Amino acid sequence: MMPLCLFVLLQSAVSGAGISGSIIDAGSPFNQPLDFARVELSQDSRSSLVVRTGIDGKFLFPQLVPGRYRLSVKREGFIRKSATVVLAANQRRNDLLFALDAAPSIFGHVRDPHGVGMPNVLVEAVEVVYGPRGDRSLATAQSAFTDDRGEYHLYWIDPGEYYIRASTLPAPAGTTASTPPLSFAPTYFPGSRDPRDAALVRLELGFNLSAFDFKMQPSTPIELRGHVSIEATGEGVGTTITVVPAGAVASIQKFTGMSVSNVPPSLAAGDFVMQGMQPGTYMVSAQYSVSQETLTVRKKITLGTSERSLILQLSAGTTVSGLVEQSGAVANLGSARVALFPVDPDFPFPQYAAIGENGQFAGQRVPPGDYSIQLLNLPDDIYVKSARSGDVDILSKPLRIDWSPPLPITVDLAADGGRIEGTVLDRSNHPFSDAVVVLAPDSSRRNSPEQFRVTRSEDDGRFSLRGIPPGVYKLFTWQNVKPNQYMDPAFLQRFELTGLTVEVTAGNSGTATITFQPGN
Amino acid sequence: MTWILALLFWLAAPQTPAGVSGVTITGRAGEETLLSSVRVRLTPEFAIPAAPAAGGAGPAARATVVAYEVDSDADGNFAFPSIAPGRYVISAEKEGYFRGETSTASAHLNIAERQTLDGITLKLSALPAITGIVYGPGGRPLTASTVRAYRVQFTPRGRQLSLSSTALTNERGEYRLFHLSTGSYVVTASYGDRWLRPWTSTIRLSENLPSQDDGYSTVYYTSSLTSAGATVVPVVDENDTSNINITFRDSRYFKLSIQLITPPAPPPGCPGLENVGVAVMPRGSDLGSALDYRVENHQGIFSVDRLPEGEYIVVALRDSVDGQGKRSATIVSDPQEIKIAKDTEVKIPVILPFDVPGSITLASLGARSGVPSLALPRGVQLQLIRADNLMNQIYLANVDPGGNFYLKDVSPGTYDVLVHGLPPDVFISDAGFSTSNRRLIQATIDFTRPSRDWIGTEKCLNLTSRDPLRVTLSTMSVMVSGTVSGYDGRKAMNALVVLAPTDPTVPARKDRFFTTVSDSTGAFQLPNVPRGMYVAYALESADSDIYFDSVFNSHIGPKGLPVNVVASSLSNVNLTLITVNELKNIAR
Repeated sequence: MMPLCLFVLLQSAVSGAGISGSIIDAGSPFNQPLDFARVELSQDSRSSLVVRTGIDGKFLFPQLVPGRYRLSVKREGFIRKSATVVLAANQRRNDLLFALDAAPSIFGHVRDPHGVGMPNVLVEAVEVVYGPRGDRSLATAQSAFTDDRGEYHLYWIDPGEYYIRASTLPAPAGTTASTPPLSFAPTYFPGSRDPRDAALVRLELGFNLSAFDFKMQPSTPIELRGHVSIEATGEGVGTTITVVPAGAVASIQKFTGMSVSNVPPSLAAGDFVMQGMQPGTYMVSAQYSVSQETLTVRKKITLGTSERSLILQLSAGTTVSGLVEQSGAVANLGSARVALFPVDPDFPFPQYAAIGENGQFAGQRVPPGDYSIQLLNLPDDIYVKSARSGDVDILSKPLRIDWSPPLPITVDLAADGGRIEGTVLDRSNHPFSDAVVVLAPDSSRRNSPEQFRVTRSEDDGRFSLRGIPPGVYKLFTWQNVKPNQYMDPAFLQRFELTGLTVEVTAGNSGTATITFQPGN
Repeated sequence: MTWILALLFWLAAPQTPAGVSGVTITGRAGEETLLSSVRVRLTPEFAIPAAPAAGGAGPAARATVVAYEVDSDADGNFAFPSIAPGRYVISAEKEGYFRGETSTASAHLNIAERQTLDGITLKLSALPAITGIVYGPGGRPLTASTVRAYRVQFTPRGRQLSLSSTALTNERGEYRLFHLSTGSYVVTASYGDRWLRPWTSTIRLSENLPSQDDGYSTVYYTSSLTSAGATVVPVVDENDTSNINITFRDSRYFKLSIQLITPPAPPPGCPGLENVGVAVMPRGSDLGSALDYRVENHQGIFSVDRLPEGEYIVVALRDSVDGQGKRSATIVSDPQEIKIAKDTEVKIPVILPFDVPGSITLASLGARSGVPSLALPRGVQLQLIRADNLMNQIYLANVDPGGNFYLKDVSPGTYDVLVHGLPPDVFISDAGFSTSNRRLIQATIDFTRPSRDWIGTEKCLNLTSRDPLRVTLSTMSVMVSGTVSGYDGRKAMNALVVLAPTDPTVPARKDRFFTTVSDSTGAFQLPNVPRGMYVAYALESADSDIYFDSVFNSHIGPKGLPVNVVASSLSNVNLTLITVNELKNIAR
């Protein structure tokens, strides 16, 4: 038997509340229980409790304090599930049932033009990801290396649509050969350099795809040339340039080069040349320290089949400052923060600023780029009515920041947000747990992320949204949707007819029942 | 170090300039395919190889026969269009493919003037794998278990395990440890979030893979919790070794608490004791990935609550971030091996790395006449190589013509002292700190002695050893020569001749073992052997590092010849060949 792994306990000796239930295989005809399923019970800011199911598929968390819990279930070979459970004092929830679906996998071989298996090739399932304003990019969802026979296993992938990409790793620096070694461009299944020409592979519950084989074709490496300088002075500097594929989640595929600091005849200070690059989209970054200050630059580039020249300007970033104003009753904004999310999902780092007592905020060292402004942790019923930089509306358009501070930002908050409470039901009118519920404004306001609201249904199917700007909305629900996917107008349009139109008036509550839509 | 296996045929066309061409292939008989990017080399048989000439274009002006090398193209074709006539050995190598260990596996070419050899087929076999399935205690296949293969290596300090290959089990619990050279292996399986962490910096595993929590005790194939109880897996040829299945046991878990004993704080403003943490890693993992095994620091106490029973290494680390944002860790303690079989507390003395100055001198007693003082050639370098088998750690310093060197930021540990770039007849007779046993030719940098000081430099203060590292060289070496014969009295060629030290005062270092291969008349010569007691023997198979093993050398018994190297030369060391079958019996 697998030992039970109990961490710091949430248990209270006096409470009789508890949660129990069972895990079954959704694809089996007689509700086959699943053993060795890992059930984790967590609560904000506390360590979690973990149990494993026995051969009867049952789990039990006795003696819990009342509160709101999150249950997460994982089992080898199945798609994970989770649920939110609210426990009252002495309440026992003994009816929790998790029916897990078999997870799809994809297998294949990577071979060279003569059919010889290629070892240590990185094979990735690449998916479309979305920025805070719905901008699309590609990111690695899962990856694996081929073995000596060229075989790869990408197992237990979430259902969805993926590109499958095979890439050889860059040759270690300093390797010499009398003739240049063969190099291979990252290849999207079945055999293209560009994801737009590649097959979008659809993985469905319970289906394994095999023989997704690659035949790699050698390609001529390209050269990336460029110049690194300090933006403020124009001075070219010597530093390390790091180039990683856009959307990569691990640092394994990394190209590095050095810009020169002194001046040999053919190059100027700050020039760099990186050889052995392959076509693709990359994030290029560099850092340089000057008198205790760190200057950085981060740029996204797409390399075609010819060489490319690149200008990198190092800067310490700029200060973005402004004022949060409240009309009507003044609420305490204690834990609220102003966040600037890069519009491009390939720029991963959001910038945060705390809000002072008088409503002032200042974000320091913000790198140049396009940002979406959002206020996090606002008190209930408060929403962002408008946000401007000078006179420019920065809710319906991104905030563009270059190397100098943008015009001061004014954020107007209103306290008369409406509320919607509702229930998600499946087609047989049973409550549907853990569905994603999205409240999207009518089409004229969809360019403003602050008008959207997202939540998940609880285990009784209920959901609640607060602090909604007054207006007309459509309510959508999906079993699963990627973060920010609903910000993509093309995606939302496909579901337009299934949305439930609701009107939210200032300070009022409404109720809605929405039926879960299968097919996503 | 090289190899090819088959030279199938060639056609001679004598009316064109001398050249060689062909293809490189791989695959089982009947299923051969072309193999690209193979390094093909032509090595002259009766000349000292000069620097390899690129692209097969040898320097025409030179009369000497040189070595040539070229890579086969995308279709496996290779060509040496213009080479000097002569006798060559042709060989081929590619990563992941077999390298023979003896020259008998290569092919000999005799190329006349203006002769062209076309259509040479060089066949390479892929290196084999060890495969199997990992099971949980209940017998179900386990996914994402870390499996490692360690090659058993023989060294003068005993058998050591050196990490050769690491793999993760797939969704069916299967693993493949591939590209292994022939030899003996120890295979281990580990399971737990702690051991999964290094993988997550290279690949992204399934979101549906359950957390492994505290996992199980690492198992050494077949079912031992200690390396001493491991069953060795032999890899003998190009065939995979399969069914090396490992089953975890229900494990016992213990608490490990680590207390750091910190040295006096460095002067203000200098890198010192900030960001010092602890890593707890499985024994045999790569200390280079120590950052992945860091232990959480809870108010100054480092502890792991539930560590599965087993063998671990605990080391103190100091994190640093350089001006370009690169994160790195410096080892700031002696790595400690610990065996967890009960709740355990360990104390780790933190020792900041520091600089070691030193000098190289020539032994004064009995020096060769006419060599009054040391005149070191240019380019001599002093190297410290970590002597314990816990990790790879190497320091290198240039030695100035006066014999002085300065090693920067040396971490605590015991190191072998090596000097590179010396003439062949010069060897290290002595090295160490004045207070340590210099005969060991090792620098034990434990720094527990009060022999270090803060020395001011331009920017900050550095810790520097007050006791310099002294290295003494000697030139008193001897030429040892003789012949090898079989039991039938015939002279034995291509035998591996070994001279292994038996004098207990001679340091246990690989460079005190001397080997050569007998020529076609069975004769051998070993120049530059330092004086001392040795045992000499000759092995039929040169494919071995077993001669470093002291147990093996003690079992050689009457098959070895005791040799006392004292005079200025020693000839007539006549040896009887130890055959492969005899070797197997001795090795057991």
